[in-house]
Amino acid sequence: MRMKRRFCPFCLAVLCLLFVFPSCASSKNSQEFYLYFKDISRDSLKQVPAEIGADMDQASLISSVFYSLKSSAADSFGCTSPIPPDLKLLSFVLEKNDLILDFSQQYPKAPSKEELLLRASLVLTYMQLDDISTVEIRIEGQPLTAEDGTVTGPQNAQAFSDVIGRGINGFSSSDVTLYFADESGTHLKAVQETITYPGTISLQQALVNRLIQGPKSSDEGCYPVLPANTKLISVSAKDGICHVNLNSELLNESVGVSPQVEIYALVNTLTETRNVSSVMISVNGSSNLVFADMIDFSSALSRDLDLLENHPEKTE
Amino acid sequence: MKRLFKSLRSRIIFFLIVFSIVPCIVLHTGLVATFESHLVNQRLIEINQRCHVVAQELGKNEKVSDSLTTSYASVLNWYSEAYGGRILIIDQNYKVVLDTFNVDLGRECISDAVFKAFEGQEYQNYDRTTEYLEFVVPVRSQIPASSEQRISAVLILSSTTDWIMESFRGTQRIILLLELVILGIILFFALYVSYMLMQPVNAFREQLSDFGEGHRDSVPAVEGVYSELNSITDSLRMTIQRYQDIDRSQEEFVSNASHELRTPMTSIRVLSDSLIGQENIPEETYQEFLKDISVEIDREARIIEDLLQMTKMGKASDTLNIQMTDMNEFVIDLLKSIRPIAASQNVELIYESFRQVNAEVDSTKLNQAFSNLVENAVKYNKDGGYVKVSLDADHEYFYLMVADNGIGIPEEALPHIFDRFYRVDKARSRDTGGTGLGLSITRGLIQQHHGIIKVESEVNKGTTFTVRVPLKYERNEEGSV
Repeated sequence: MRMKRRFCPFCLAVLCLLFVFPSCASSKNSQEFYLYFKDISRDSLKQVPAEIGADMDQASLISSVFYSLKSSAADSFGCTSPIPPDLKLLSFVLEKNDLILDFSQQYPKAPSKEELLLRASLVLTYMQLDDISTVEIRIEGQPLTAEDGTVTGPQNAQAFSDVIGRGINGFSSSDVTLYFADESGTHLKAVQETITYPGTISLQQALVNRLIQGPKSSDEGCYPVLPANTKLISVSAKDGICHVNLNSELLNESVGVSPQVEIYALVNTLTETRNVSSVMISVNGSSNLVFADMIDFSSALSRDLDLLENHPEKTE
Repeated sequence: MKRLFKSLRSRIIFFLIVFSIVPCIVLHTGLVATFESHLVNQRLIEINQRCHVVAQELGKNEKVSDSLTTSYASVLNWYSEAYGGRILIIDQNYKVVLDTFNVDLGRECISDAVFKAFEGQEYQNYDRTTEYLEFVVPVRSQIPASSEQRISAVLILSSTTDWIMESFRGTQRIILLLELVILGIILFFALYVSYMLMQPVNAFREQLSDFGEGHRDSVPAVEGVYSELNSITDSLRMTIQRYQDIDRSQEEFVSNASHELRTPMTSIRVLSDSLIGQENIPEETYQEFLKDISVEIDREARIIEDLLQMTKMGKASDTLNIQMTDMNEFVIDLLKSIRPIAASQNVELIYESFRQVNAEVDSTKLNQAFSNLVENAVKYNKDGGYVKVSLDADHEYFYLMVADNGIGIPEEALPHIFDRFYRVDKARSRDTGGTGLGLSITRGLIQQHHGIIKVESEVNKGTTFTVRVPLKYERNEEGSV
């Protein structure tokens, strides 16, 4: 779909009305949509929920979003607009899911925090719309260039690291595959999940803790694979091998699953992550043991998909 | 439960326990409070230093990515593992150029702390809930061809402190265990010591209970263990002695009283027997004997009257009718009624008053008291003698003196004259109709007014009674024993 529009200021008022901030009332055809404003109390972005009408056409939607971001209606949420008041959106083009926003000269200079916050706000807000997969900023037709010459091309939401987090590390979230036990305890069940974890721990650490935590009630037919009192002492990934050090609770046979299921749930989950192809398990620092007389910990373990049940289930 | 706490032994136990446990708890809390912060601070200082060293190393090149050789990047990886945390380096375009977790590499970082660091502000924080130390440090590099520095990057480092909390908890567990052990020992100790301390008291208690129930006659005593118990024992002994004395004196009184009462009865018996036994007794003899019987009956009546008054005075129900009285008038009235008797005995009555005196007294009772004194002074006087009554007062008391120049009272008798039924010369007082109770009644009446009575005398020279009574009558609540 190729659409080009010159932006008329007097359509503004009309379009603004179509894009309202929600009060308490719920809307019939609302999806979860957030506007990213600048937080007043500190230099970061803040999500403010908003509603979009499903019956708006794409162009109007894009304009409304921009003007909502520019409005000061978010003041009551402790936010302010990241868009400088004198900045004009000259035009926008939606070309094969790539949104190009053309701004006037008043666009803040890069690199600066105003520029970064503005760009991030625009990208993160627009990325929520269905038809948009990247957002590119241009200044009077020219690509956005930083002081040292680097050009910022089209970006998606992944271009930014934790925006809403608290503290310096905030939270990360990842889509992962978890392996739990099935009812019989002799096979593995795969579950897709998006986990959120503090930025201070690694993905592997979050995964091990998640496995120890056990399946959620929404995970049907899934059963815990590791004893509840197991504690992760340390985990690190290097050269494709993930070293996992657990405490001796691992050796308690309180879970009621076969030893293969217990260990390979861990191995399979971890090997699903980037950079990890095998896993080395140790108990209180020592790998010199054979788990349940079946699995030798002294060598690294690779994933075993034979233990899987037939159909991995999709949840979320 | 309340009853339990009233026991001295329980209190001893309670306080022993409290005052042993409280220092323990104080110590524990103090230790625990400083332990964590001490360790965290140490770590904070160490890592802070490390951060600055790394920042300096990174700042050696104008562009931080030039400083990030593969070897230095692996050093940083090592640090992050050693500290159990994460290292991030953000360049001047806000892009992540190093991430030991390999998650945010290449992304643009939006963080308030990072923006502030680019403006030169360092940040460090201990997040207790997540158990992490966080550091944000600006990296300064030299601007080429100038002596100035600019911030080319920001270093973010985090380190876990969960080991601190773990050892902290471990230590706490040990301390709690020790506290429990101490509590156990203290409890045992408290029970034992309190028992030992209470032993003498319990022994004393038993003895006292025996005594109270009449199982033993001697006053209980516990040999010299506690001075407090000793003084209690002494007071107890004195009290018991006092009651025993009172008992004895009452026995004496009863025996004296019955003796006195018997005497007139004996005379009546004798007189009437002699009348019954004889025949043909002339009428004059009947008249004479009957007169004598009548006199004896009067005497008996007087004795009984006085006895009754004595017992009445002893009771708490005997109330005084206190009125403001003009004492001068009082004395004048009093002397008026005695004048005839004095005249018939040829004794002169003199009244001396120094000032106007008004006092709160029961005039009826005082009348009786003073009449007695004046009558005695007249009775035990010689022919042509005098009785001088003088009235004086100061701001607190009034003083009444009854002085005579009569036969006097011998020295050995003086201490006893107020005793019941005591008579110096039995023969003489019987003739004059005395009951032996007069002075003790007088003294009793004066004591009811909270006054005192004193006597001075010399044989054949005379006797002086001095009475002092408070001008204001103070009502007190206790009865006197």
